[in-house]
Amino acid sequence: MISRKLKEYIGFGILRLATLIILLALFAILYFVAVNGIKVINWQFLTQMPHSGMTAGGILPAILGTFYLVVCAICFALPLGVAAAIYLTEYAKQGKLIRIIRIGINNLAGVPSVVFGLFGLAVFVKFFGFGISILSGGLTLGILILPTIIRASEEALLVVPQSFREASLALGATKWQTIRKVVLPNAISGMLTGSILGIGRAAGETAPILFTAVTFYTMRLPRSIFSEVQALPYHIYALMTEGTHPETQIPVAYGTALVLVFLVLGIDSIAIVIRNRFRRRKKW
Amino acid sequence: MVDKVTSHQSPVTSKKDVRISIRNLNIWYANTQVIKNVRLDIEKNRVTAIIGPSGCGKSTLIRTINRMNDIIPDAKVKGEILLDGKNIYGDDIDVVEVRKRVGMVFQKSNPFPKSIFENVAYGLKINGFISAGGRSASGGKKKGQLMERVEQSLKDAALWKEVKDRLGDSAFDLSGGQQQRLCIARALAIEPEVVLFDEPCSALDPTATAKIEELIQKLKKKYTIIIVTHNMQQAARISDFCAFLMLGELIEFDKTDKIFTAPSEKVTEDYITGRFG
Ligand SMILES: Nc1ncnc2c1ncn2[C@@H]1O[C@H](COP(=O)(O)OP(=O)(O)OP(=O)(O)O)[C@@H](O)[C@H]1O
Ligand SMILES: [Mg+2]
Repeated sequence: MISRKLKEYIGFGILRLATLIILLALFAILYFVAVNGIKVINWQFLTQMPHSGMTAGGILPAILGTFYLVVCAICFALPLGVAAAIYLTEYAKQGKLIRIIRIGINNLAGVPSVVFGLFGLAVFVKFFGFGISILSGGLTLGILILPTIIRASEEALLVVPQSFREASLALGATKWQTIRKVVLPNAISGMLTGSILGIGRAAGETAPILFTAVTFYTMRLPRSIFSEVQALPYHIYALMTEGTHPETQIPVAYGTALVLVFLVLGIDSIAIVIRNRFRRRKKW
Repeated sequence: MVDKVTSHQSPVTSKKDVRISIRNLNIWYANTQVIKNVRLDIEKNRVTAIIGPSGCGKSTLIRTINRMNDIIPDAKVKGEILLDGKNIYGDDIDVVEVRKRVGMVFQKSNPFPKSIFENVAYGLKINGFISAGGRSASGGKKKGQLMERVEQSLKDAALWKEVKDRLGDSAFDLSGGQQQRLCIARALAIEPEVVLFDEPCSALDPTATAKIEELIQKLKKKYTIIIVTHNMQQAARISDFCAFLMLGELIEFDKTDKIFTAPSEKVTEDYITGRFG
């Protein structure tokens, strides 16, 4: 009996320790970024243009740039991903072809993001001639998060009980009416939650926008989707690797990192709020 | 014990009152045949019960009558089901139209996660009914009738009195029996000609069951009813005709009185007296 209790104690102990380590790592990162970055954060930092070779002023262009890139990625990837998920789960005849497509999508999720960057450069920047621009970068980011959105949407569709579909069809609804009026309203929260989490990740990516959208320094805020932009993750990278005043650049980089972390946390909490709101209403 | 009828396919129903005629129906799931050469005539404004041991194909059979098996990927149907003389498996058939004419109530009540009102209104809205003040694609010809139809359907399903002051509440706030009657109201709202019930009382207590049985008795004045049930007493109480199915074959089909007092087949007798299954 003692040994069984002991085993249980040790087992739970290990699990607890693992959880603790993860939490610790998370807080260490946040603490590290916060302590180093908080010094430069103030209202000007968030709302003004940079000057004196990035060592003074604000990072407004980078904040706006990341915002535009993310919005562009969402506008492109969300409708496309949701539509693909609906087709794959609701319409397509489940068979070999669909299985292969699914494997393809899952593999797409594992492709290193720098490869997406190269793809974006070749296709959007060069082939379509969008140049280094918000559009090229947003589309590249969109493709990056497409697998996440498709998978999240498929999962959300699959948890809608089959009995809802049957009830609707048995009332003489067409398949499309059933999807629009019964399936989608019950899947939309899951779709959004999963997608937004993916988008949060995309906001912090550097590689996909490296060759497609960003520039280290612009004097102007972007004027159209064909403008090149500054972006938070790349701004950090540039501050740390370029320029001639590391002693003043590094604090700005940490400040930028702090802003980026909060931006991502903000996006993720939107997802959590949406999920909780819908979960309370759901009762099956 | 009684005179043995040579063929169970002898016409027990009178020809002119037949609403549904099932002819040489065979159904497979992938390579397994679960319905074997079934012939059955369903009379209008009567209750026809389908009984038989678990897994014998009752649900499969009843689901073919409004083509709900279409949504099962590897189900294959061969044979004919004539609805008022027209084969619903024919080439020129609109499945959606068939389902509007043949409603279905499922074994497990399955209201939508919407309000009580919206549940009943769902099928109506799909058919172009709109609420007063709204606009419909079909030019608003059925404007304003929505509320009346919802009320009438809830009355027909003996649920109106219990829910009339809480139509905006979620359907999930209702009890199990109320939810099942809501599903019945929902099916009745679009005024089908035939209503299929697949073990509608299997999850209900005796009081709720009694209510639904009483309801089915009333409904047969307006509708043709087919009901699958595991409960022999229920079949005996509410049905006019009774079909006994075993391992996908129709063993016996006759007037309910006859099946329960003087079945022609030994297995039928064994089954209804509870000696197996
Ligand atoms: N979707 C399906 N795919 C494959 N086989 C199925 C499917 N649905 C049912 N079956 C099989 O077909 C046979 C008949 O099933 P069915 O559901 O019609 O039986 P039932 O008479 O309604 O049983 P119960 O009284 O338990 O509801 C069973 O052997 C079952 O395992
Ligand atoms: Mg069944």
